[in-house]
Amino acid sequence: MVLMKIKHYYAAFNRTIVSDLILPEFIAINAPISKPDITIIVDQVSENGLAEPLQSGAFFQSNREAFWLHVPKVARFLVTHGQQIIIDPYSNVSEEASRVFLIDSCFKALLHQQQYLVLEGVAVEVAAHAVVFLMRTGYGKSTLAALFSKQGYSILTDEICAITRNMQIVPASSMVYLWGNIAKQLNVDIQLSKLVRPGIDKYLKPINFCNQALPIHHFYFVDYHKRNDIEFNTITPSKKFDALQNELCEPSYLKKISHSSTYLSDILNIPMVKIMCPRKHYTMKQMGYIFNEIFSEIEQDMLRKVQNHG
Amino acid sequence: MASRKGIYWLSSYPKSGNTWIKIFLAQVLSLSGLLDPKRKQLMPINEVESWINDDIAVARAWVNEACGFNTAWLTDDELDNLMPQLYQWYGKQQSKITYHKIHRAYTYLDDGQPLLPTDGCFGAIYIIRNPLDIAISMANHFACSIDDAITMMADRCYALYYYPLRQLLLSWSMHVTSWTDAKGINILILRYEDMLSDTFAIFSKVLQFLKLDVRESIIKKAIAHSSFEALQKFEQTQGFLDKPPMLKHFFRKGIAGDWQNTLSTEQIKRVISDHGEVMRKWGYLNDCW
Repeated sequence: MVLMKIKHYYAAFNRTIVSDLILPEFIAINAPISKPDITIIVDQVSENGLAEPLQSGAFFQSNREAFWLHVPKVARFLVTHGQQIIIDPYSNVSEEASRVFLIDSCFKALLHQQQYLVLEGVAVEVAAHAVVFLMRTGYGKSTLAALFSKQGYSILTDEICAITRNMQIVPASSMVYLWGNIAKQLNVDIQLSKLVRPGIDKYLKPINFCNQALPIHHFYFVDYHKRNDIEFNTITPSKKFDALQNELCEPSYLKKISHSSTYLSDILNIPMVKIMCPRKHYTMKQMGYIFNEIFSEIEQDMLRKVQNHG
Repeated sequence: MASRKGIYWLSSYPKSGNTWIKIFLAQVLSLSGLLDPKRKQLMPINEVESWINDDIAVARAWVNEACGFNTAWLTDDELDNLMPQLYQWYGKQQSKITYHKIHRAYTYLDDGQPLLPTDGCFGAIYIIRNPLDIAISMANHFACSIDDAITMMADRCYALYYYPLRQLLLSWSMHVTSWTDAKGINILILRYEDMLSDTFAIFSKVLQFLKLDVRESIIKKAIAHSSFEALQKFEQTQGFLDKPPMLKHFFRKGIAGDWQNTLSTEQIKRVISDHGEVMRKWGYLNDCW
């Protein structure tokens, strides 16, 4: 007798998903989907990686059609043709322990395979547009998203910015992953929240979610300096190209197969602003605190720019 | 002939002279044209960090890049288990010899392999400093009391979390023993006090260990421009970028024996009680104590 696996149906990134795993980050669809855009299954994945990788790291390989990832003692993943993700978990590893790698790296690779330009950042809805804060890993994306949500803004994504050719950003997840200490700082109740991954003090929190693709109004490139003030600098057209080269916040494992050159002329038309935030604290986990202190300045600048540019 | 590539570690417990040797080495490499054959000149102090730093010991960006996933999703122990493979991967990406500052203790994983792999590693310079003096510098560096610094130095599980990657230091004694007893790694052990009292001889030994054949005039010039007085003056006039934001000065006193004027008898007894055995082994205890 063959046991049928229970299938779970979701919507995210303007796509339908059928999955062997429960994915609380995405919006559940109650009725089965006959032709899903994306399939996530548990099956075997090769230990040896891809036959012809164009880019390799210590634990990943990628080319234009496939992305192979090995998280030692957790799982192997294979993402192919923008349509399928196979997970091969180590024995005795829970779904919770492997899910976050699927949601993060694997979905970024999958959306890249679907020809989206995939960047890392936060996208907030303002006046039917998306304002995008591009930030590197560990710079406080979830904190910023949680702060905007707390102020009543709708969020399209707190991590994966999947950008279409007509410069729209597609909605990602209705949840943020929030550090326990940051949640405490922001007075966000996490008592009933699930841990994102066992052993990691990060919690799954629902946010005000904008579930439709929106045109990008402007980009912020967020960085830190060793001063106590916050600085906003509009990037002039002549400097935009350099800014894109250095600060686009593409996942590093996709850089050698990047679509950014295809998107270049369209991105250059989008206004860009560099924000230098004060780095008062040392640990990366504490850097999110900074946004709590400077949030109103960021919000004011954002609203001013949206009003001025229509 | 294939060029040599591999890693040298510049290691010590914090506040033990690691920055000094890092700046000296950067000046030697720069003056002798080993970094840029067209620019045989002194390196501005604040540029040293771009050439010799502790990024591969403490930074997460290169680790995430090598992994292909966000390592913030791993526990510290899970990530430590990946470090040998990551350092080997890092070594393979380099085209020449690289030098890296590190404060980690030399620890082993559950399967017995060292966290810092010996494969692809040419060796390590390890600096020991009198823990009685370290306690004063630690208190200043971490903005805590000397008593708290002494407690920190005795903590057998102590780790630095001030940086993205956890760095297990263990206690001062355990740190020293972990490196000085490390098996399979080529190691040059130095005492900070000897670096102060016999600078030219010790620094020449360092270059010999690193297989850098450098003219005496270059060594002397590099020593002069990495001396404590030169660095202190530089910090006062131009600012030292490596200085943690909460510190007034990075280069504070740089002397040996300050403990005699600063520590109370009670504090001295605590340090000796915690570390006496290792202190005696490395010549920091005389018959009076």
